[in-house]
Amino acid sequence: MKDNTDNKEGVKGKIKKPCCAAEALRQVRRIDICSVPTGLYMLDSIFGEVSSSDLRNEQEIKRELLKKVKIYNYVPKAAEEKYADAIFNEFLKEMNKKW
Amino acid sequence: MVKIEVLGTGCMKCKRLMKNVEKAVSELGIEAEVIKVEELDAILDKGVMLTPALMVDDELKVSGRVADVKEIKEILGA
Repeated sequence: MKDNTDNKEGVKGKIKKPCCAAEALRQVRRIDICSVPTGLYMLDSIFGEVSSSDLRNEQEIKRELLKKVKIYNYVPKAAEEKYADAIFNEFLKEMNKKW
Repeated sequence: MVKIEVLGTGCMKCKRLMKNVEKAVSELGIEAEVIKVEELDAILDKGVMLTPALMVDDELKVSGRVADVKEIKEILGA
């Protein structure tokens, strides 16, 4: 599977490893929200949790994704719908890759 | 009464989150029980991996970052 995490290259071109488990969990994934590249923490973990849940309805999935993303990231209230749409599209892409 | 828990081992960020929670509660004028959870075992028992974290009525609302007063007020007002 392609690694989409935002790892920076360290000294001599080596991939910088996370310093601890918490840092590894914290890794950022970048998605476009209204054409603005936005870094979101914990997205891979959130996608895993939501895909393993039994939610099938689009609106329910969007609501659950946004609720979980808001735990680790600040989401402006006025932009919640745009975030939800963008995250849902990214979620679908991820699921299509897996299936 | 709302049960608010601030989880963190006592670093600067945890203290800032606690201050923001106190300010949000006082500005909203709601009745709330604010609990500080500092023991690492207790934090992990709640399934929280990233501190500071904020739980409201046993539901994780914020983790790994300091929510500002405005956001906390939105969370408590919802």
